Amino acid sequence: MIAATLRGARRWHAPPMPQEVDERTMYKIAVDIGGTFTDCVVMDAQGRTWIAKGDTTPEDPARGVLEVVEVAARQLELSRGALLAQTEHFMHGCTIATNAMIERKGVKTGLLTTRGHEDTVPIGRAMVKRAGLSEREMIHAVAMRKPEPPIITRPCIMGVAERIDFAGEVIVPLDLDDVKRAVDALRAREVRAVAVCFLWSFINPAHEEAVGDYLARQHPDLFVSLSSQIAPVLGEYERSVTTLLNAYLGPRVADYLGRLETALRGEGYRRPLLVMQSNGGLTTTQLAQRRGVMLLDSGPVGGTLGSRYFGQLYEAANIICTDVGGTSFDVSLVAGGSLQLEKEPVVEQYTFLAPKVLIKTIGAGGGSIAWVDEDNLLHVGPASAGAMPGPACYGRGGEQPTVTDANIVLGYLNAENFLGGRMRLDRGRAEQALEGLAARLGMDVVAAAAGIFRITNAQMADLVRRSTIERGYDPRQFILFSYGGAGPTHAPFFGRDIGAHSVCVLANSTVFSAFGIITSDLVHTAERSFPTKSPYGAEVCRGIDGIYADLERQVLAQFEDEGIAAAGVTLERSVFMRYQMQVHELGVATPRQPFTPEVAEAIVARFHVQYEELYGKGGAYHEAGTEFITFRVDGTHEVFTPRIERQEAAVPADASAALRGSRRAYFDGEFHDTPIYSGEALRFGHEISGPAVIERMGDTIVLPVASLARVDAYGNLSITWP
Amino acid sequence: MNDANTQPGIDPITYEVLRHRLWAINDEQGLLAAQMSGSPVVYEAYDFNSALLTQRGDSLFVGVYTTRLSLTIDITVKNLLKEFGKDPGINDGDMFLTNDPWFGAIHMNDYTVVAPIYHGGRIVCWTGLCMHENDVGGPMPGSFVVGATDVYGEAPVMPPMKIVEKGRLRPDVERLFLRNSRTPELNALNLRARIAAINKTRQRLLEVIEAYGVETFLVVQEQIIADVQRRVRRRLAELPDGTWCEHGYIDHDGNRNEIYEVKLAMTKRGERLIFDFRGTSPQAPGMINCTYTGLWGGVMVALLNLVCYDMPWASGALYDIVEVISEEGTVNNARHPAAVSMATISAAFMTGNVCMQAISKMYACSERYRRELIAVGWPGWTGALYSGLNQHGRFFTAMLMDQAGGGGARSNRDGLDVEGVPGSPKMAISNIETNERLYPILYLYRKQHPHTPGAGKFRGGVGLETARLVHKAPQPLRNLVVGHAVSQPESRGLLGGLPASVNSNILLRQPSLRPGAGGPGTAGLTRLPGGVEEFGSGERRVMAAKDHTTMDNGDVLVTYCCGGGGYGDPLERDPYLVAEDVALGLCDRDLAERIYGVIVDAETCKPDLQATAVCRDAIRRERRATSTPVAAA
Repeated sequence: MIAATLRGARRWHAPPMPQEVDERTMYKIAVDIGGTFTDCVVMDAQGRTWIAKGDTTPEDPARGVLEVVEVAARQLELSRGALLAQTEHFMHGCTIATNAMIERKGVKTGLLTTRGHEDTVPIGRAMVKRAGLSEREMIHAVAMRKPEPPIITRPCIMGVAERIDFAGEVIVPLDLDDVKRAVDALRAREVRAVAVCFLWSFINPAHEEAVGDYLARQHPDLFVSLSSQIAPVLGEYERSVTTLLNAYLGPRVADYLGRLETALRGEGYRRPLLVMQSNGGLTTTQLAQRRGVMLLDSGPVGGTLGSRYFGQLYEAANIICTDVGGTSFDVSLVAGGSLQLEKEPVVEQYTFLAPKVLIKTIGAGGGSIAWVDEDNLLHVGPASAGAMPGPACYGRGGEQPTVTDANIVLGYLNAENFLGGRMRLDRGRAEQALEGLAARLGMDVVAAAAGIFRITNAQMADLVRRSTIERGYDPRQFILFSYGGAGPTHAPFFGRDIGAHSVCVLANSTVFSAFGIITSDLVHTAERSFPTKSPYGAEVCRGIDGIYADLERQVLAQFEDEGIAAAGVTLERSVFMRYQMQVHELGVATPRQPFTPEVAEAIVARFHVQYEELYGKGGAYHEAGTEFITFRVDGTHEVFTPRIERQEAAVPADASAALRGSRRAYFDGEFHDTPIYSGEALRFGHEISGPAVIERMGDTIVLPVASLARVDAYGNLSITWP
Repeated sequence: MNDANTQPGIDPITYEVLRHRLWAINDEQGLLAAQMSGSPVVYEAYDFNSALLTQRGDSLFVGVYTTRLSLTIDITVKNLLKEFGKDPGINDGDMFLTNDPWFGAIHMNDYTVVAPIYHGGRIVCWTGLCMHENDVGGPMPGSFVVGATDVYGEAPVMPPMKIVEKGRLRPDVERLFLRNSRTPELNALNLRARIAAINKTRQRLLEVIEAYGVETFLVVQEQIIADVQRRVRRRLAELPDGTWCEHGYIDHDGNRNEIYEVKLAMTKRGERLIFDFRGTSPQAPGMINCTYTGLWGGVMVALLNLVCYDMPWASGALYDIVEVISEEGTVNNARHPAAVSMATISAAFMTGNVCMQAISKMYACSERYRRELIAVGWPGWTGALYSGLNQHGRFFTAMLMDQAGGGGARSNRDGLDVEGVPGSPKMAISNIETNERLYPILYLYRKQHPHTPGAGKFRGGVGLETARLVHKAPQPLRNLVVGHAVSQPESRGLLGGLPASVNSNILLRQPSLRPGAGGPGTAGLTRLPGGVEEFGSGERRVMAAKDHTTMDNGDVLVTYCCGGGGYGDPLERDPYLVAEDVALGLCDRDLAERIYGVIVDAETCKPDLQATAVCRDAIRRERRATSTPVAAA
């Protein structure tokens, strides 16, 4: 089955060895912040890795980042400062934008728009009611709602007198007195950020820029976002939302990244802090501070990138990537070897314009709180106890029962050996937390815990189904990758439920997202809209040639800022084009050579072919003519990819050398005396049959009855159910 | 695949996988066609739909776009099987094109392409796509014909023809299709979009058959329909038996401002639903009629949205559950050659409204299903159709779809503000920039209007008010208005909730806000109006429900879309909700006092609870004094 899905896998090339190893700058560090833990992977020039795990510190996430780097540095027998001084790239995945959005903790934001169009965002193109819903959810019309609460309400939206038409012609000049009145009114409402989105500003940005100048002069403390800079594309609703999100989240992102970068620099790191974006590429802090919206929902991307990396090693093109952290469960897919990008990403029902890896999320994780409703029905999540106070068994003051509490009562987790002994869990507190709930359900504590476990697994299975089956993918053709601290406890159960080909629990499961970030490339992109209709004459082509040259210079300059010479950058040109009259564009690769009418002709020919490949034969309507819309240059600097140590020879299947004893754990309605294995003692070739529990430094794998786990050459566990 | 999978009674995982895959294939077919289309009406407003059907032509999956459209693709396929099976024959690789309202289309703009999917020499299912074309000919650009008295005065009707024959596009049929349109390039692009999407669908379906076997593929289809049927029957069994009556009115037939009634008595008995339309007005001598296909589409749109909200939209499952009684020759079951150019947004739309309202009344009688009811939302199009030369000198005709009314109130919360078209969840309104790029108009404003919704314990949603200026048009434009709910409100309230406002179009000739206009392209605006009240002098004409005129640069059309109907007595509305609406500009203080009996402080926007109690008592006293008990009447 897996072999059959090989075709289409991303071309795999052996990791290049660095040409010159500068002794002082030889490490790469990736730090990924999750809901509960902050993870760190350090890699040296030979591809050796060290991993570390620390607490997420929600009140000041930067502190958790520095702490985990400290833990990692100790493993290398270096001081934190010495490690940072010898670090070539510090890469970072954070949830700052996502959390601020979900918790509505962005800053209070005002929106300036063209007078008469103040309701554009509240109206939401009459589609905000269903944005982000699947077709399955959309059919329930009576249940549809608008975002609650909205990120902006009408009193913070001010229209100002100005109007530009489709041609970029000024119809009503900008009235700066009106702008002043509007901004003063917003200040009276104590906004900290202002988004500006005028009609047709992507064709003629003069009015927006004038407002930007005014704000910079008169209100330098305000965070300002202009739509002509953030999303210079047609469509005032989506452009407004993108600009608004950027203003709403930007100050939070900028504060945080600024503080972290300063702290790292203070300790000796000399290069820009690189930040993971939701498109799967890294960017610099300086750019991310201005474009916080690009970080929305970037948290889970690292795991997807890491999954793709291992997929290449396994020659498996189809992977279901599942990440169970403390607060959320994320599912993404690698299908046919490629990441799945979302065309019109939606966050909390707001449609915005920024390319983003497609990831579905629900609030289900180790910290998810179990509760009973008025009909005495048991529910789990979406509320979470998070890192503080955390599950009751952490003994940090949490009193509500969580999934982790249930898992310890069921005997799945080891109270003495959680996180490799870094943390002790209090089984008594877990039971105490479950008692009230069990009483309301008329059950004993164990039955209630088993109910929580089952409901959690079913919720996870449902989300996987929605990501695969409901999009027409057959899960039997996919390997389910499991990572994140709480993942391996649940994945063997929900993986079997959805009928995945097998479940793969990764050796470095708990820091897998951080690992994935290290496999990412540094990507800079520049683009420019310049709508041009066919036929493409010599003069037009000269103009286009100039645009490409400009764009390439911009991209190279960004790399240069990061100390990367042009020689280390791969440049790719493309053009987004369409048939005249259409709106949906296709990206077509463009050769890096002088742009001539002959080149244009070749591009059009390629466009026809691509169009028919995508939409099928008979779809192209050549007579309509074509139109170039946006020219784009992507620059990629391949950050050195890791080499994973592969064990050469398998040992016999008997894993008794790793057996550490037994404890009572709950399977199929009763407690069984269950063998406990040490994950660190397992070797390539070992096999373990369920029921069994495998304890590792950062997680616990629970094998259901009648399942079989086999250790592969990379130290990953492949679980099947014969 | 192995033998086990070729037997009937397939395993549950295979069933679930295939059920979802076929559903996804149909959704994607619609999306693909929309992406390739050149009409904003299609790619932004989603006025199109897709369907997969069984080998017999029973609807298996209907897309979530403009539901009315695809709900009658089954009628087209069944008629094809009946009438065309022998001669000219239905072959592998054929696609049929038709817009015949007496064969399966609803009105002439909605051209449908349907195709049989063959495997091993027999039909194993059908697929179809229907799109609203901007112009399909006839005396008026846009093909809605105000003033026509019968279908001979409207756009040409094309009975099914093979646009693709055994895999080859027929240029003769394509030319016939394009020759009759004012927008041939656009129609050609849309036609190819449908053909390509159907080809892709065929390829995907054949892949499914390849992987799972043709018998499994056929069994799954039957099982999907049986499943949905079982679930609908169970739902009906849980509801009380009874008969619920409802009516709606269509104003103006395109020639005279007459009122036509659509009358319904819906009876639920056991697991069956009977929709009895007897007593509906005779067919009109004008554009508002629909044929039986429109009637069927209207009934289905109500059933799918209100009854099938948690199951696949396999309308084929409903054939044995639903009975429709209607007299031929009525406004929603019109005989040839009735005029039908406005059918979709007129009689068919009204049929859907009365069905939804009747089902909601039935739900109101059930503790369990009360939360699923909804008052009638935006009850009908306000239709503004422009045509002429655009700013680039090219001919255009544009049905501006950026109109949206408010949603009907629910039994537990307000209707959605600017919900859009009830029963077509995916429909969206265009960005202003999209319309301004294509057409010589400039939007002065597009905003929510506070006086549009029906009041109630839960109010309806508010509707839109839009002002569009003709801008940079090389010559005067034709403007056509095709609406209803203009003379009388049609968003009825439920259980004491009040009806919403009416739809309205007001034409302002050279309003004084645009002084110094010196001709096309001159920027003469110095101020921007925030509402209709800010326009100064100039001719003002309230347009009829169906009307047409010409508009020059500087003329403005103001369009109001009405809101949704309310639910429950407005005096029971939470005073804080009323105050919040006042703060957001969705209700004014005067209205709050008169209708809701809520006194809102002008400064703080907080309700004065004591004054509110006094005010509400006074309103109740007045009601008692002026009303007669039902028993006494």
